Amino acid sequence: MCAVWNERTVAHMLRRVGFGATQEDIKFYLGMGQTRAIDYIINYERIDDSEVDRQVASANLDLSKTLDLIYWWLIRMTTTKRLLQEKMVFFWHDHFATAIFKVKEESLMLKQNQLFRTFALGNFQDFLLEVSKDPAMIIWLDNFTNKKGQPNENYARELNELFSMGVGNYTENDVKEAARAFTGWSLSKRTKEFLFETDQHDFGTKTFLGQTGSFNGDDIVRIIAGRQATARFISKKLFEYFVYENPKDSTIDKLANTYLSSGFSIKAVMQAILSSDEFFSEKAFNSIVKSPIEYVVGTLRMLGAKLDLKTRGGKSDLIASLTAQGQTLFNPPSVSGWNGGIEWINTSTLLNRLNFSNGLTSNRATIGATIDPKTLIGSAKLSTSKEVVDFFLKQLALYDVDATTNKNLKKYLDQNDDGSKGKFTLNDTNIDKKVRGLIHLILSLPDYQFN
Amino acid sequence: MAHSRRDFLKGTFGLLSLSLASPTFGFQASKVFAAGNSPSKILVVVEFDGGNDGLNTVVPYSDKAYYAARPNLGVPENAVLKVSDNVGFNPVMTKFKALFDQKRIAVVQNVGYPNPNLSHFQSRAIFNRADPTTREETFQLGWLGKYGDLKSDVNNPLAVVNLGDGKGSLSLPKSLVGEKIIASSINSFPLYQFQTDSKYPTDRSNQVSALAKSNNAKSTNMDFLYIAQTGLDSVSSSESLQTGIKKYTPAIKYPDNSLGIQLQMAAQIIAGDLGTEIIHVTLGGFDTHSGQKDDHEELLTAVSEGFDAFYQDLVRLGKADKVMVMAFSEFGRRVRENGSGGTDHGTSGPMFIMGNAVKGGIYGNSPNLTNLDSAGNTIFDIDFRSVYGTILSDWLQTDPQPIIGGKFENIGFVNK
Repeated sequence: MCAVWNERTVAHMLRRVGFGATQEDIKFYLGMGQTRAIDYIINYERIDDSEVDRQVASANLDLSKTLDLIYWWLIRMTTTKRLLQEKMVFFWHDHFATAIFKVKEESLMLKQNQLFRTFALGNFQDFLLEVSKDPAMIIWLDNFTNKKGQPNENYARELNELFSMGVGNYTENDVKEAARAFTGWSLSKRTKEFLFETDQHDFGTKTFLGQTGSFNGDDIVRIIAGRQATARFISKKLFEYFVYENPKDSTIDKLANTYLSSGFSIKAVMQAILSSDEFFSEKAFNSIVKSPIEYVVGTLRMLGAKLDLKTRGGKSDLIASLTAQGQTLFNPPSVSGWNGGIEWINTSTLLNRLNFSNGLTSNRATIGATIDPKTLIGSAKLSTSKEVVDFFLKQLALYDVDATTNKNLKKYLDQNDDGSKGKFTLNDTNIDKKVRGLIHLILSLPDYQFN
Repeated sequence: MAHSRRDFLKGTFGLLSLSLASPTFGFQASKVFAAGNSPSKILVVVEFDGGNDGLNTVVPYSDKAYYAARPNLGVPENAVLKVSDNVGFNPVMTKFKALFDQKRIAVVQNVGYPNPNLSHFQSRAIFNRADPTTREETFQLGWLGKYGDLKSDVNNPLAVVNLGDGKGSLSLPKSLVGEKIIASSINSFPLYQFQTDSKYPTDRSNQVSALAKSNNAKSTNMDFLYIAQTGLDSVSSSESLQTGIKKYTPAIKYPDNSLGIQLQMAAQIIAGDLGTEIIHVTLGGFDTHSGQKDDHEELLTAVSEGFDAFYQDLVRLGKADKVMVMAFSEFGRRVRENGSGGTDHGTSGPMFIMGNAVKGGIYGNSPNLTNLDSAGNTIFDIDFRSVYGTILSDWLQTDPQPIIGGKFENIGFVNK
């Protein structure tokens, strides 16, 4: 638990459990107090989220098209009040990374995404089993070609290496034996549903992680879910995603115990993480580099942006920008997902972040979304450049920008075109020119690249 | 100032030594163009991502065990483009073979490392860091990053360049991670610019200078400093690049695929004399677990045509003597084909080196296909660090030891 429960703390929490921290949300959660806020976040099924359905319906999407499928999810992310649910779906999409470039069926990607939503905070053993039967996954890792006498190791390997225990906790022979256990786990050509092909399954005896039996895929999942290695691997991955990198072993031990004693409940692990001292520690604040989705969706939320849902061009512009920033939903680069962290940033991806922000703030470069600074300012009484800078830093939930940067932003507002010092006045011309420019600069700050 | 801002990753410098007043880190591109700044030796590294099937690339057609293990996928002897009594190239690699016949290509056979790791991610990290003991998830410098730190102009953000084809996302390969050097990642030339509001061009310079100042802010957070430096590099390198690439006029037809696009971008950068010393390009799609034949042939066609177009272009530009190309993959594939018309992850495989300075030919032997490890994979003969070491010492003329962490046999494929 944290020492101070204030706007800054709440903004940190909201950035981690959701996408961005709007002023409205900060006020709402601040008033709740810490314990109730965390309870509210975790037990999100109680929250009325019908606005998401209304927004999705009004967008008139054709979910058999990749672009519209991505928009379907983006609308959920930008609209939802069940912050943690959507964040967990996003986490699992990275964890069980599956890409449409190989699966090639939008309906199956959608089905998998709904599976992630159903099990967002679910039981990990049940979840692993459903993932093993998920049609998109079966195509993605070739398990439909994994047959008796002709095993294909692709799924078995990644199940061990990436989805549960991590390298070093199983042998090459375990991979081979697990592959045999998953022979015949295929899908119907007609319905594209999971299908267990009895005659393709190897019913022989297998030895997996020291246990021997005529194992089927269910047995492999059961054995894996109960391993200490899995408890630690999943706990560590969740902790590092939500709190900070390289936690102490003792921190992970505690979470791993929670995982095991709760019967593999992800909800229990998340409850422990969000209630921990570490989650609210200074070490955690601003320590994680935003992913492109967090950068874009958070910005859209905090600036009350309008998505251009009418034109195909508008949609493809935004998706193209996200791709160039390094992240296309439903299309992770490989089965290990996105590397993330500081690897999000290189000169190409950073320029594309900054150029997205220019498109968004200027309303002129097409980016598929627009903002209105005048509406944002609303009835706020602003006149000096300092007041305008402070207002927009707060609007973007930046509470830790140093005095020098603050001064430089103010100087920008005051500057004449030739660079000389002038005097900023808040009028329509300056809102269109300087305030839009200011927001672009704030979104370009190194400070803003962190969650 | 005793320390450069670029020491950020070292963590050994006084954190507050970063000065706002430092004149070095404005957005001046001019320095990059200083005459004679163009390195005399350039290395282009091509990564075949996913694990290239070496046995179907350099086919051991005289080996019965090859055909026994690959009843469906084996390349028929009469189709192989033979280059010796034992091996030949895949039939789609006609242009590649022509370059080989002109002695422009060295093939190093059966390259690998001890205790092979069959994970893409681990094995890629091993190759990228020249360290078979590395763990992908830990921070470690890459071999080309180490080279850049030692030998390149670390103040030129275009000294080390990572290219993409502009169609997908571009991430930085682990090989290019340095302590001081930050490689520029360029996914598309037209998009590689810092944009400001087109309605108010007269305000642009104010915005650019405000951005520079915010990227010179002080911090004790290494990631913050890295992002800030990348912000500075982005703008300065984009201005240099946009000027430099105008020197190039296309004349050679490159294949219209990912590798073709990237190799033409490489030629354009080389023609621009931007001080670029290392260029990294990636061709993905080699993880052929199923339906391998068509996919692999398409990839090898891209390699054959791409290498040929790039070489012809370098000759045209008068740069062929200055460039060496090295191609690798994180592993080869299982000797025995699987039941899905594909091959699973394997171990050793061939590496390719191209250039005027290359002593063309086949180095080393095909893998022994009757003496496999317990997983049915080939046992390597030549350590990949021998290949790196040969290039570092004989082409880039630097001591390989600090970069590859030991002494490895020189293979001798570079004309000295």
